[in-house]
Amino acid sequence: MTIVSDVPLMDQDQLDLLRAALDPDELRAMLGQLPSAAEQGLAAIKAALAAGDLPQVCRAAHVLKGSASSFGAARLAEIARRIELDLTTSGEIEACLPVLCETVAATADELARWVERA
Amino acid sequence: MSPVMDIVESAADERVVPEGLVDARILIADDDPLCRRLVAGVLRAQKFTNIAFAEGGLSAMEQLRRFRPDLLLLDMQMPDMSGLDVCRQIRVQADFADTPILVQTATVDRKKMGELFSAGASDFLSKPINPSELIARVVVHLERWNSLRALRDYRERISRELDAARRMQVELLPDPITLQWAARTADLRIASYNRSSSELGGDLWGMLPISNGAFGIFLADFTGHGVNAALNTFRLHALIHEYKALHDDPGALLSMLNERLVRLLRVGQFATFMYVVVDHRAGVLKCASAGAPPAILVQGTDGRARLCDSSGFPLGVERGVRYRTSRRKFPVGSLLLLFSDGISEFPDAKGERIGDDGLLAALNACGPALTPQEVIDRLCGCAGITEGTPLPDDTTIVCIDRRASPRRDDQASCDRAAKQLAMSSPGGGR
Repeated sequence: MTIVSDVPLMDQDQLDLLRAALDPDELRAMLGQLPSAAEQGLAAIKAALAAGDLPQVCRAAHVLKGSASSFGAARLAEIARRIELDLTTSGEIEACLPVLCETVAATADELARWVERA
Repeated sequence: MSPVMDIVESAADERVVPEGLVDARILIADDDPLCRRLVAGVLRAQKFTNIAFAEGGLSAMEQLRRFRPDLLLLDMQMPDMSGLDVCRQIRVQADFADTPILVQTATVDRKKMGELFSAGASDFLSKPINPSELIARVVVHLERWNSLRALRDYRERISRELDAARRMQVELLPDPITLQWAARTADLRIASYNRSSSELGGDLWGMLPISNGAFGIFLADFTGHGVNAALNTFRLHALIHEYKALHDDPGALLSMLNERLVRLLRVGQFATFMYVVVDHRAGVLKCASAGAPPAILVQGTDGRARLCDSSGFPLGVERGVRYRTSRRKFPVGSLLLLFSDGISEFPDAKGERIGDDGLLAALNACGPALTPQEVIDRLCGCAGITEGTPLPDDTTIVCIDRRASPRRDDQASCDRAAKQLAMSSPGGGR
């Protein structure tokens, strides 16, 4: 999963689009919710994986991909996309979890900084 | 803030959602609460206020019934029901057959996109959500749907009004009871055919009782058809009844109607008019014509059908025209046919017209056993007019038949028919 580090953590263009289109307070509030939503997604993926339910893993990854990409969390969205569409075995997905955890945390840090700045 | 951001922001400010649209009811169906909130946030920033949410496909179907959205933003992939299935289930409901459905999807797969549209999606929205695209597509589809609805409402209103006008116009025609009574008194039979090319027509015919069982029959055909021509038939109807004293004098009646119509009608509008007084006691017809197609007359049992010469200016063209009354014999065994050029000029399947002479030949081929209604049906058939054929021009035919004096049982059936007509709606069956 080294390749995902090529993908920027945040998609600045997407964030700019949101900033232009949304009430600033509303955008801040939504971005503030993204880390906990990402944590929930991560937990759902782990739980489904533990239960051996791969279709459920895909569904959880799909939801995570949707919100992450729409809020400009590009790297998180890319990892979720791979889990949903590219990885086929629980072993592959298992191997991907550390970088997913890392990225969730990094995204949360970056968003916290962004929300403070905005 | 970077200079680039300034440009983006000012561009966003210029984007204005048309005023009438912001009240539109928009349903957002997405299983991800954050995505629902994002889409709603973008819409609210553009002053859309009437927003409802569904957390999945089933709840979207429920909200459809309760909220009755004007537009639906639908996530393609939801856990309980796919966006495709939601689309299909919505489209089978008549109320929502045209409601815009915008499906949000991350896919660019050509096959999946095809499925999406064949399931009934109006359009798609790419994911990640692009706010400008979202607003632009929402506005386009709401505007399209609003104009569709406005057009539909307008058509329905016009169609109701035309229906009402048509009923009124049908009420101008002779009522069946009076007509059958006059026929019986004069010991003859009358049948008629009247159909418009559109909802309203420019043809009018009528019967004017005179005295001693004599009566007048007129047939008018205004230029054009549709509302203009129809309104003129109402004017003419009122005028004819204003000159009751002239009902026994065709030439004088036409001359007077012409004077009035010349002043009423706009340039280019006029009417052909045929008026015949049927006096069965004297066995005479008194006729006057204003540019109408010639009447066809069969005189007596052994007579052949002949065209009655009809000349003269149409009504409403020139002041001071004097119309002359001509007299013809109308003994027992005779038959008179009045018609508008809707039948003689009707183009059949080959584009050929039967013409006055064709009608004459067709009438000569009709045996004496046919009732006047059967004669009319036969002539329509010869001209190529069947029940369902659309008519390019308003068409009226009146047949007055003295060939066989009605037998007693005929009279009984006449009574029955009159009773039935009396019970049916005033516009029906004439």
